[in-house]
Amino acid sequence: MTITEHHEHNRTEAALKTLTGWGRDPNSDGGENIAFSVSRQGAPSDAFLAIGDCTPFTPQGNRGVLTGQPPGDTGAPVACFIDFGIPLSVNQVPCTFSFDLNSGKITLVGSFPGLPSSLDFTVEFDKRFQGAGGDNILFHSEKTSDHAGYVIAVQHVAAS
Amino acid sequence: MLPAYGVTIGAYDHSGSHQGQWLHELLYLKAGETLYECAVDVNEPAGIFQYMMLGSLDRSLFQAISALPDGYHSLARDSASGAIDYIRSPLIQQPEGCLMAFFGFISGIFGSRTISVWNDVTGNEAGNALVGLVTGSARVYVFGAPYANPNPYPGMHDVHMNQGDPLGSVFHPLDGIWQDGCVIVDGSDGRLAGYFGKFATQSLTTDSNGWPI
Repeated sequence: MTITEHHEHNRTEAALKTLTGWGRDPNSDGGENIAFSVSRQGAPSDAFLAIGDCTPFTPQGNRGVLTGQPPGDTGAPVACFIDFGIPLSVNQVPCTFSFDLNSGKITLVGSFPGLPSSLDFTVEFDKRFQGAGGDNILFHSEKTSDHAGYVIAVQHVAAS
Repeated sequence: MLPAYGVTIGAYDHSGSHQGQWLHELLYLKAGETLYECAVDVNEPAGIFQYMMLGSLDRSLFQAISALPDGYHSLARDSASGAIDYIRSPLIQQPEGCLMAFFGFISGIFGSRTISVWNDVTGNEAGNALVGLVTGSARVYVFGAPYANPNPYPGMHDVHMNQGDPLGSVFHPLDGIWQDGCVIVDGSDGRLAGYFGKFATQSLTTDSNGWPI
């Protein structure tokens, strides 16, 4: 591991630790809940945006796991595929989401059209920023289960 | 206590929800040329949120508020200003008491469990009920705390019960009496109706500090 890779690894570990703090207490720092948005950048027809709430937290290992809200609940994860036909339409595919904060591995499971039903990737930290009503941490994918790239933003949504 | 408390009055313009902020239904009210954003709580991320709809509120008990012009008005936290208190306001207690008596009567006849006037939220039902209430209304009154930062919109938050939080809760220091949030509308049918929300952990029995007894 080069010095730069070591530095990136440390920043990722620090970000995962921060997410663990949000998961343990969503009300910390004036927050309320935890939301995510993942974009998959594959071949054009395979691109999608998955969004949802991942406030449910299960302590596990040194950190824990953030999980999407269950089906039917507010913020249950959904993946959106755009059909560029006329007229334009969006195919909404319900899915599950889990973010293992020990390994940094994210798993999405759903009936994704033209894709494996289970997709996973590990993350690497990109940046942390304030905006859109909360504290955000942005990651990109490192190792993926398929031939695609992913970007995920996790937001500690500020209370209203 | 909340840092500030008041009511925003205006005409319902539209509603929505920002990505991630699904615990609130955002109501946009037009007061003159100003658009107000009101973040009304409709759910809770890890516990139970409860809501109550009251359909026939007594207009004579609402005159201090209905006489105000559109816009935001700060309210004194007492019984004379028109401020709302879920536990102490006759405006709420009278119809809620009638509903409880009705449910008690039904439970007595059919031997069913006691039905609460408060509904537990499991999905989007509170948000849907709220939007149904304000859609087509003549005038909307949103009680709560004004946004500290009016950009990009002035508006309201803490639109829920603001007392009775458990000791040790992060919200306990914000508790007080006569500072509860809710949404009341002049309905298209001429009735005065309201949406009231609370977290299940909040007690409906409080002392003069708004702390649970």
